[in-house]
Amino acid sequence: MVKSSQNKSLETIAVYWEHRVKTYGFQTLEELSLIEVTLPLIRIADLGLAVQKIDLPEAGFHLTLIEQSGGHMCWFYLLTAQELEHAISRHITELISQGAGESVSLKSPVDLIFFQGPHYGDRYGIAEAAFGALKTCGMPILLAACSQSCIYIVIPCGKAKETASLLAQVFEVPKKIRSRKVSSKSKR
Amino acid sequence: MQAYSAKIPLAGIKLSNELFLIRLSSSSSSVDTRSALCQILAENRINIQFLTGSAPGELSAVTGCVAAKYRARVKELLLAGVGFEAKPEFVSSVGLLSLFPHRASLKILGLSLLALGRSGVPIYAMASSLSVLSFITDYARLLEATKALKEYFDLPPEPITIPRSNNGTQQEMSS
Repeated sequence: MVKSSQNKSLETIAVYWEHRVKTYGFQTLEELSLIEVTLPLIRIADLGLAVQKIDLPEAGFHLTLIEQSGGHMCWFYLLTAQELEHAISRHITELISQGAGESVSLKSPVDLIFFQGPHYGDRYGIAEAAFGALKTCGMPILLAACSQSCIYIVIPCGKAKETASLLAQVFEVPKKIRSRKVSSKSKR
Repeated sequence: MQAYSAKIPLAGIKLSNELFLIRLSSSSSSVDTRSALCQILAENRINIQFLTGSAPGELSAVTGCVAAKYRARVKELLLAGVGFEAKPEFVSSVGLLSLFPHRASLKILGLSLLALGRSGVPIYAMASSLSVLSFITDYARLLEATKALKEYFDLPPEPITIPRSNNGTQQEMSS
């Protein structure tokens, strides 16, 4: 670090950037269900109570997120196995009394692609590279999350392989792309 | 608040530096707020530390967090309205609370929402990654949020290291 005459510090930083952003590989999951709950922010505790009470064997999630509307409402999303969609959504519906503006809905089936790479959480431009590649080709994105060093993208059913190919045009990936359908033996 | 009778053991909680939250929402799902936000931040070499994007119903929404030092710059860029059909909203001082591992467990997810909801700490956004549940809340209330989660989870007793904030202060987590 070098200090200037005005006593302001100048900092030299190194930015890690490749010609094509590296990933550790894409993973795709097909034929999942996306549960969407709309409710007031003040009902978050009620939602939590409902979710933690779901007592289904093998019940879990592949992705979950909350987003605020900017007003007093929020959206809660839970991406889970298709076999569990009705049981989980029915359970949430039963446990949170649905007031004005509250709803529980399903988008099913949907696909998921997720990936991570070196220092994704510390570098600019990674999300833009991913979303830009999909936007250029008109790929619809139902849900997206960039958290820690992971990027998750939920797309319509049947689009996982095409999405992986589009992303592979801007990301450097290991040769093998892993893909699997979620079976009853792999509920999460 | 009454403590949960059988606390679930977890590896820990990590707290972030101070961040600046940006929220864009549009009444039309055809407006790609997510791509617009990512593009303008990338062009200005600003890292997005956290992002969620959804399209509930006919709406389009995106929430992003950047380092607090970019607060003025990002406000300037977004309020200039370059490429946006959505009015940006901001929360000046937020932090990221990362709870891990979530084990893809609905019990852990539900209890964490219950704990934070009952505590009154705001949840501006949440997203899971491979093993972490990340919550965005007020930076000044990160320790309060941590304390609330400790009512339901058995977390390591040692202090959690919190990086220095912009003003050079450092918070410490007491068990």
